Amino acid sequence: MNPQMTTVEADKILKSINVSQIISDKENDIKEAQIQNLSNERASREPIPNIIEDAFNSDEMIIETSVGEVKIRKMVIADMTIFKLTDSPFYKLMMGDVTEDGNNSNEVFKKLFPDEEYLSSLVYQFTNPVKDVYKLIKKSKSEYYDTVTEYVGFVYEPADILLIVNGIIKHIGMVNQAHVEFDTSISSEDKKKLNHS
Amino acid sequence: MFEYIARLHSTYHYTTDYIMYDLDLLTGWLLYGYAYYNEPVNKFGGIRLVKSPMSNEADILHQQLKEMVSKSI
Repeated sequence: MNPQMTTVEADKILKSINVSQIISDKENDIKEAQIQNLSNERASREPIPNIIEDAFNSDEMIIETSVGEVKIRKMVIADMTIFKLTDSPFYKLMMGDVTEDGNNSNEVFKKLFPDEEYLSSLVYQFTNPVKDVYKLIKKSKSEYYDTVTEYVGFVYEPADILLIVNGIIKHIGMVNQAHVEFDTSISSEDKKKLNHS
Repeated sequence: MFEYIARLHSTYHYTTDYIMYDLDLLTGWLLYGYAYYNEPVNKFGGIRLVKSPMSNEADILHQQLKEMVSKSI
């Protein structure tokens, strides 16, 4: 049986609490909670949050480079398979194995791109139709990297590659943020019962 | 990934090919979240949103507000 609080006991506890002491001790926490509340309220008033606005925006992402305009295609689920097949650090990042701990962007960048091959691979992947990229990598990894070098390394200047990669990373970051997560109160035991009924 | 494809396929009747190669992931995640939220099993058992685009937006606003407060002190 669950224990029940009586009004007499509740009054006794409330009287023993020194409210002004708690307020002065927790001043910073209270201010933090007020700021948090204001941010949540403001975000709730937004009719369409940024990410959703971008999701329904069909405009193509275009990057101006020294060789002209480069179109970046939007990420699809097959890109995750390509990341996996190329051992891309992005796969680990999106699966939550690598976290963007700390605010040192240089370290995050090094973690994501240990060498230039990954940079070129990313540019090739997002500037070509996903099916073609997938077919090529499934055929042969060495052929894939030869094509990447030919397509990216011999065409773009290093500054162009960084510009394109920057655009791609922004898009991937947004995709990562769009992942809605829920917490259900149904236990695994309950789920089993529902499946059997 | 399988869960993503299967849910979008059964809820919106998209073809697997469309989900894999054409549906951009940004839109896909939002549709997936909506489908998951509206699944009767989850509605029945109770469901709580722990991460959404709105909470990300609130985090950005929170950071901006904190910076404004620290500058004003």
